[in-house]
Amino acid sequence: MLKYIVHRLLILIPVLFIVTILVSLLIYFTPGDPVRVMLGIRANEEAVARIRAELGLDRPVYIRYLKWLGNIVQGNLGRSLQRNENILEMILERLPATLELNIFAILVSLVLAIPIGVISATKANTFIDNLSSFFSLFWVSMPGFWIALIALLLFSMKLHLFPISGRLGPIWTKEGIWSLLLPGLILGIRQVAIISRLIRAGMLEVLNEDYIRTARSKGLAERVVVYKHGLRNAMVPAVTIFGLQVPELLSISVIIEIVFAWPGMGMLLVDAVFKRDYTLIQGIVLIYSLLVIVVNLVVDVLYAYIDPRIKYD
Amino acid sequence: MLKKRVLRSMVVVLLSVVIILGLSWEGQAQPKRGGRIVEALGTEPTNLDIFKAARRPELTILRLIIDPLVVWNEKLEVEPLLAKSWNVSKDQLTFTFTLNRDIKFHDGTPLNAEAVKFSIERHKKGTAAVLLTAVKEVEVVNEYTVAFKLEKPFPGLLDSLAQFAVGIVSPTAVQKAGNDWGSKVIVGTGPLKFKNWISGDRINLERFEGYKHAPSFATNKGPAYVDEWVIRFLLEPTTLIAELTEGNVDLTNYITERDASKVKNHPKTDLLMVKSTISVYLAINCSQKNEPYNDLRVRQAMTHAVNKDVVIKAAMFGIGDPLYTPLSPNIKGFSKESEEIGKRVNKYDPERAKKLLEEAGWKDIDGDGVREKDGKKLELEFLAFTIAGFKQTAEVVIPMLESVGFKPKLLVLEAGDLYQRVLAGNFDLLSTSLVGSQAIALNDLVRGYHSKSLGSILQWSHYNYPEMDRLLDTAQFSLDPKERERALIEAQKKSVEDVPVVPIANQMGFFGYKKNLGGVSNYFKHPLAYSQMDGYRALEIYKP
Repeated sequence: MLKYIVHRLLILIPVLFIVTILVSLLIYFTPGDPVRVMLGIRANEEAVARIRAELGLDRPVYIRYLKWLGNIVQGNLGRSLQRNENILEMILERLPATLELNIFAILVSLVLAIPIGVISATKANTFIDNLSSFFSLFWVSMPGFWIALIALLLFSMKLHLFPISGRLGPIWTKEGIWSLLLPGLILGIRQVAIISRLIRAGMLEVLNEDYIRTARSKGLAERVVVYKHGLRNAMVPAVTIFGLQVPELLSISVIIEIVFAWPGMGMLLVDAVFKRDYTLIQGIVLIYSLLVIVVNLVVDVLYAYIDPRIKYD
Repeated sequence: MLKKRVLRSMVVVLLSVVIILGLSWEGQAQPKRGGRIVEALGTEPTNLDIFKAARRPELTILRLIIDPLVVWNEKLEVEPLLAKSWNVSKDQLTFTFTLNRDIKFHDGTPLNAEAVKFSIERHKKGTAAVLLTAVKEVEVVNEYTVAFKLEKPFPGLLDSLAQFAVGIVSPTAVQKAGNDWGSKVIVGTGPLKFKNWISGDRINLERFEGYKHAPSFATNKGPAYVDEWVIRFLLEPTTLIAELTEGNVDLTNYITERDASKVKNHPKTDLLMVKSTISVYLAINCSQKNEPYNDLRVRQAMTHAVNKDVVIKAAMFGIGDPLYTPLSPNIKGFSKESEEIGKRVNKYDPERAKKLLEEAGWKDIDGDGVREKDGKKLELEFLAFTIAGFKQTAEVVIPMLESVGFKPKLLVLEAGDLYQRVLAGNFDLLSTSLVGSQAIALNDLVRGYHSKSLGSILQWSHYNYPEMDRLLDTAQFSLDPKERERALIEAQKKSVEDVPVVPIANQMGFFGYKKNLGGVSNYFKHPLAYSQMDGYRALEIYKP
């Protein structure tokens, strides 16, 4: 297993390298000049030329990329073109808020999706199952932006159950948890819909297996049969999809961050794209790629624990 | 008996007087010191480096922290601020300013001639350089006297120096801060001092106790009433309005026409509608190379085809005054004569539009509703920003243009892409506005219509006419005030007659605030309180 983990971590390097090249090319071909965006209506040729030279934007793109790569290897993500701030510091300032929001959403999705999926499977084609199907379809179909706004208007403004916006404190404080609840729930609920359906499908397949019949005939409690013997096998495809959903979660969290004024990396990335802040975009995308790769590695390792038949030697 | 009656009447009268005085005394209670104001901004600023700041979000915060050398009073006349007096040499090539001696920066260092020299020299290389092009050098005469030496006489220098964009900062702070200047360190002499910036969330400012140099029009002579001023970034308009109406935000300028009535009608909030200096228009690319829009008759046809009242109703929720000139009537030096011409030149008259196009040789030969000439269709590449108001304006205008025989193609682009296309001249019509007006007719005309401004974004129309250059140069540099005034009026008239833009509306500004907030009426005494003078909200506004 250790060999496998080391091997996967080593693959990380060429993967990140390819990601950075693709992102740099994408930025290069995107129309718009960051200096003109920075200067706005006050841009004139002289000011633009001077600031372009100051920021090194007058050099060829491959030179700028190689210089950036050289800095990355030394752990230096460079400075934001627009803000002139250290990018690593900017990211570290925002990362806790993004991690809080996404991890909370993941926990919500697991805590709710598993029992909903299991109950839907064990009570297949009943009213409860149909209700669960309806809500799953609803949450998956509705645009995240709309759901977020409706939730804000209903639960924060009308019912005053949650604060309207902002991160009122870190997660270990009362105010921090209270301000995280609504955005975290809204972000997680779509994952609940997807994962619960997968668990339901997996369970339906597994509950018809011979070993389940054997377990029941041995007189085991239904709860033990379902959760200990059935769920474990049904979880593998759900865990796979969960790993693949992480990039989608990160992208949807941008919308949640904007609606709830949650000061995370998503908002920072969107702002950087609009302002053509090349260096900041590269830095954030690198961190996001790292997160996604690490999460998928964790998912792969989890397989071996969920199903001991899976080995990586 | 009579004596008793008289006595009784006197007591009643006396009591009434005491009650009336008591009631009116309560109405004129002194503003309360202390508390915290929370202001909402609809976007996070990029960087608060005054030498690079160019956009509204940056300047609206910097004007709380930094002061210029002189300031406009409510009549838009220049008066002392950091400089207590000045004189101009006979040849008008030297402006010598004497500074107030007892003003300190937020970091405790003194405001002196070195600080002014440092700031102005940095500004000459920054985004506000266009305001200081006439300044050759800045000389320190003594500790509190500084001289501006000019390349050529420039009577408009005082108006330029009244702009907060060329505000004075602490050189010690700039040098010490290095790369942190503008993000972690901002030091001026304004009523509020910078405390910290929590990325993605807020900027915290606090009262500067040493502020005692308020301008003459300010009711509060300083320091500010409130202890703290917090600026929160709320990008989603629904969230911003929600926080205002729920009382978590005290005030904001970031209200659109769509939400204005919501704030106005809410029991806890109020809304001030202010005539801004922002003119909304469609800029026509009238570069000599851009056929057929280099033809005045085609441009005239375009402006006659557009019904401003309908555009204001449909795209601006009915809020805004119809505009007949490229410049807002609310700016210093605006010419009423040009407005009268504009009402004729920019009048809605689709029949006249069709006639002009016929005269220019554009006829609908094949009956498809689109005019042709020499085998070419009268096509129109129409650009708009992704910002809702501009896009909606374009969408409302398109059928109007189609009705007289144009074939518009709308492209909605975000700023980065749009600026590139506009600068390259790859468009015919642009839905935009004169955001960032300096509230000076002369400056706005130079930035928008002088050939030396070609290559800058505000020269949307790629307008290049030697006669306009001559008029604007005279208006800027002539030593005869009457000649300058006449040239400015003629330049404004020409800017209307040449139709480089189709004027639509003078945008209204909205100031939304909690109903019980104090000092709002004092703040809005100044006609430019919504724009250039918005820094004085820090001085006047208080928590009850």
